[in-house]
Amino acid sequence: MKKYLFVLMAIILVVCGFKLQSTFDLTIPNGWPKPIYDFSKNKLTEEKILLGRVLFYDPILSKNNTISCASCHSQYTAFTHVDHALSHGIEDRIGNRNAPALMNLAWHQNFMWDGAIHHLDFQSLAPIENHDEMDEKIVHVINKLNLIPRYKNLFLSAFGDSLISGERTLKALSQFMLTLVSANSKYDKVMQQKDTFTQQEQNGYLLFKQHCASCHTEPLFTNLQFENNGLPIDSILNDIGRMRITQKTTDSLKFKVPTLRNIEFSFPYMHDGRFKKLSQVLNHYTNGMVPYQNLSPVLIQPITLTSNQKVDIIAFLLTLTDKEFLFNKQYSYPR
Amino acid sequence: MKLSRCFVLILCTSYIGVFAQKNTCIKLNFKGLINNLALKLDSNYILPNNDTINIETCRFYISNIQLIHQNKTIFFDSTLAHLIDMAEPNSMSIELLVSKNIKYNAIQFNLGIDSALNVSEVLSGDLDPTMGMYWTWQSGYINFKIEGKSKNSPSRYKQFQYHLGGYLYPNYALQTLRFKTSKKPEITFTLEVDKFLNGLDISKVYQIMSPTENSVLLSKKLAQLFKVK
Repeated sequence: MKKYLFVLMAIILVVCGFKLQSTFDLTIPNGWPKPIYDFSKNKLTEEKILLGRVLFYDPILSKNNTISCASCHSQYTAFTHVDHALSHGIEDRIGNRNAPALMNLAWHQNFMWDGAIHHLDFQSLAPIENHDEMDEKIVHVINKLNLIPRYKNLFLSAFGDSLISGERTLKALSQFMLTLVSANSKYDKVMQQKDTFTQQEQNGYLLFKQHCASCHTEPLFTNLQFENNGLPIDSILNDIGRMRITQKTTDSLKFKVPTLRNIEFSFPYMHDGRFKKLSQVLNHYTNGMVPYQNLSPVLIQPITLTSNQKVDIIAFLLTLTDKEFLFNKQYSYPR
Repeated sequence: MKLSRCFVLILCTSYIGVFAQKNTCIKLNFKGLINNLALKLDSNYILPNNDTINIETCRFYISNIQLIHQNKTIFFDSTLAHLIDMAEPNSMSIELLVSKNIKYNAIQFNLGIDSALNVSEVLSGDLDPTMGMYWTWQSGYINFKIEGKSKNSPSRYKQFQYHLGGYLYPNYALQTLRFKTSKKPEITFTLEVDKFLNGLDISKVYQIMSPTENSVLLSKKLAQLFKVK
């Protein structure tokens, strides 16, 4: 009896004391598919997005409070770790993969190069607890956050009370990451007929559609699938890719097809960052592929490109740079 | 305004009063057994196979509890999942609020988290990832976790760690258990931990930490070691 009264009182208090949240409407770019993320389970609000943004930039998520999400996902390089083939975590520990660029995540079903993570809400757990990344425990993160008055206030305004939990922390991080939408590149403006390609870019676009678009499908510039793209195996890393997750030999050496948006700034390329330049990537597809049994079917037919054609494709790829995204103040360090 | 709120409060309280009279609690107790005695964590035991073991952690999820009468589900627990932790006596009992004159002849529940819950958004309470029952490197709940020390373990510090789970076929580790019982108001379920460990070759398999075939095999074995008392 007492228990019910308490619950009832709590409900009344919550209803009366509930502060209205400022809802945030994520703009779905014209012609894009429906997002995969279920926003009804985690409704975007300005307050939650801000909390997520503060968390994203806070090294408190790491064991020794030295690195934040932004350490390996820096805005100016399309939220990836530029210049590092393999990203490094706390105490300069080197991981075994190249940090992926973060954008348009609401349209992704799986995360990580091997799709180990199946929902954006759980994605942040992986780097937080990985030994070579933040090497922390989510439960310690919650304990640390609980000691900081600023977070008490941020959780209060985001959730209506100052309870700090794993669920709320992860949902807030998802919220911020969901707002990272890149859809204002020159390519997008050309598609909306607000701009025009140069002749070279146009040539590159046609070649791209012919040779690359079956995996790097517009408008996301990824088909979100896992493919074996014929990279020779790195005998030091011995990374089997998707097979680690599914344990199916048919998934050996398959990695998630990355988006090409903002590719100008997200170098180095491939899951292990083996290529520094786009020209090296194109050379791999024309001359360097290993004919694995499970090579992506669209790559079995050899790709032949002249060096001029390669230059044209690169000119097109540079139209995928979205400066508004790279310099959007809403995504930067929260001052 | 204040008056109307008062009125609502009175109305609700009287409603709960009526509601409470018609309902009763069925309490499900979970108890670890080792060598026929109640399991104590951090204590040494000798198993029939002569291994000396010490259990530090034993936790698992119970979900989807149903009371069944003549093969029909007549009560369905609305709590998504209960985390049973042998280190937390309070967690080892689940109370079901049922109608006072309920009649049932079987009870069913899942050991672990089903695939639908596994692919949903991040959840709170017992399912919050801070509870330590979520794999971080690969998505998915750990259904059952048992950790400790064994004389036979070849690992550093003689540890064994079994984290059992997996929500994708063919490595789907969830187990559905059904027991014939019509007990009220308390039912006790025991888990014979010694039988689980005694049947394992800890010198070979001393850790399972991913959703593999072994994880499913051990989950099936565990399911057989739950008994209703």
